[in-house]
Amino acid sequence: MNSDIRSQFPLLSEKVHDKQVVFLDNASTTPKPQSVIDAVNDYYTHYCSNIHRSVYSFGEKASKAYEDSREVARSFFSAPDDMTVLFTAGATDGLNFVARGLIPSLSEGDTILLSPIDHHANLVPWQIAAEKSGANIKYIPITEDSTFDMAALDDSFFEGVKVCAITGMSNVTGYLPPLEKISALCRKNNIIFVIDAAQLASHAPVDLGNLSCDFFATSVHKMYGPTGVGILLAKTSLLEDMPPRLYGGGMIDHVGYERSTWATIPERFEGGTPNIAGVIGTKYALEFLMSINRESAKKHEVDILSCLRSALANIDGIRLIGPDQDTCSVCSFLVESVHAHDLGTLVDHSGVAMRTGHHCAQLLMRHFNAHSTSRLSFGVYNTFEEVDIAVKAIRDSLEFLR
Amino acid sequence: MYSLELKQLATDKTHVYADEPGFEHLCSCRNRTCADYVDIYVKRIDDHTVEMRHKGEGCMFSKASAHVLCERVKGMSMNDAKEYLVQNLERLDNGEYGEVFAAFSGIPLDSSRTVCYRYVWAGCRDCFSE
Repeated sequence: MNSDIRSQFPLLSEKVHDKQVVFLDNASTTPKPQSVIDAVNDYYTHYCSNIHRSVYSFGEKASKAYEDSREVARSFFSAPDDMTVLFTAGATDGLNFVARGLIPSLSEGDTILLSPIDHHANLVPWQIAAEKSGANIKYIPITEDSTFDMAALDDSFFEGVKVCAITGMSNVTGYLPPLEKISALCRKNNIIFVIDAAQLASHAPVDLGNLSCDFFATSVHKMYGPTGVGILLAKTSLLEDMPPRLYGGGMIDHVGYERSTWATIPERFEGGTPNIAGVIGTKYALEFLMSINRESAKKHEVDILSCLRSALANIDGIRLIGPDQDTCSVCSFLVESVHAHDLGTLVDHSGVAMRTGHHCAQLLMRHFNAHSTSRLSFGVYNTFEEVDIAVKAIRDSLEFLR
Repeated sequence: MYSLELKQLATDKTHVYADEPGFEHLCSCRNRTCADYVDIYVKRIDDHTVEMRHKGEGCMFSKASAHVLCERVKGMSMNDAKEYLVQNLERLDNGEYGEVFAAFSGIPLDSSRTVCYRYVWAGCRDCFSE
């Protein structure tokens, strides 16, 4: 399965410093399969035109391709009929929209429940929403290895909570929080449940028919699709009360001299010319994911992660961070007296693309008393051989750095 | 990018601040791309000369840069130190590593890592300018 998959990704054949690239920064963004590249290229080459309001052939074709992507997205996530599929610029954009849009629904004394393991994209917008609405922020308690302390989440914990916004998968540790349990607690306590699925969406099959939530935000570029596109699945009933994201072309019903009225959903929330090529490419990224066995792919990523963690644990001075259970695809570590950036730059010379820094998760860094970490993260195409190359590159680099 | 010279500069503890008496905190230099920081401390030896120390969390480039800064301004007046910072950063902006930044010449000027050795100098320069 793996070689068939790899051959679809031209970037994986590239060389860096005369070495075959070993791309292990998939939590940041993923390489794209040829089908996605071709779809984007095909739009620009053969039918580039604006959507929805063009009556000529190219426009009709582009509109259809754009709307096809919406339907494929709905099907990919098994979104129920009461949810709307919106295209955004990414998970950050989607989460900002949700947080901003819910401000009118929040009052002084309400509580927004977040988690310290979250990416800044699912923290900062809520801090602003709290500031503007007078709501409080509360954090889900976490254990030493940064898993949710579920024992602490009794009914009294949820008193006053109006919104719960958490990640579906940590971009630092790969931890998969118990979404079903959190969802059940939110439903029971009548809480709006928001999932930042930027990491989760590409690594685990998601069925929104079963996983009940109100907003589910993804970034398509982490799902083997184009950059600059996000899919936001949103409860239509909540969208009805939210103000438009942008005011201008495409989102109006009628414009008068003094005031205007808005189009129906989803057009109301997709004002201006969107990233048409990116959205068209999205369909091909989702179809790529649907073409593989998602459960097998997840198992492969879990196995390869386990192999990496074992190998790194054998290197002197390396401290793995995060849990070793309920994780997928991401491994972060610290090295005693070695800065992550130094290690990251040196392993690049062996062709290994490794992310270093705080990963936009400074609350979690603080929890681990760390400043920055080195992070390796997998996609469906990564191999055990690549783990060996990465581990050797890390060993060799540490010989110089220590 | 990495040389033994750079490593030696980064691991040289001569100017690392160790709560010595007479030093005052001058400024905190921050690398916003990664949250690394270096605190700079200064001691006025007499009316004309200063001595600097550095302490913080950073990569090899950042530590080496902080060491070079402290080494270079040793014995200068505050005004001369400020002028020295401004001139050398300007040179760097013009693509000249010069003798001061020679150890960093393996880092291409268009690399994102240039910020790792620039930010300490730039932070100090900005502090002097205020």
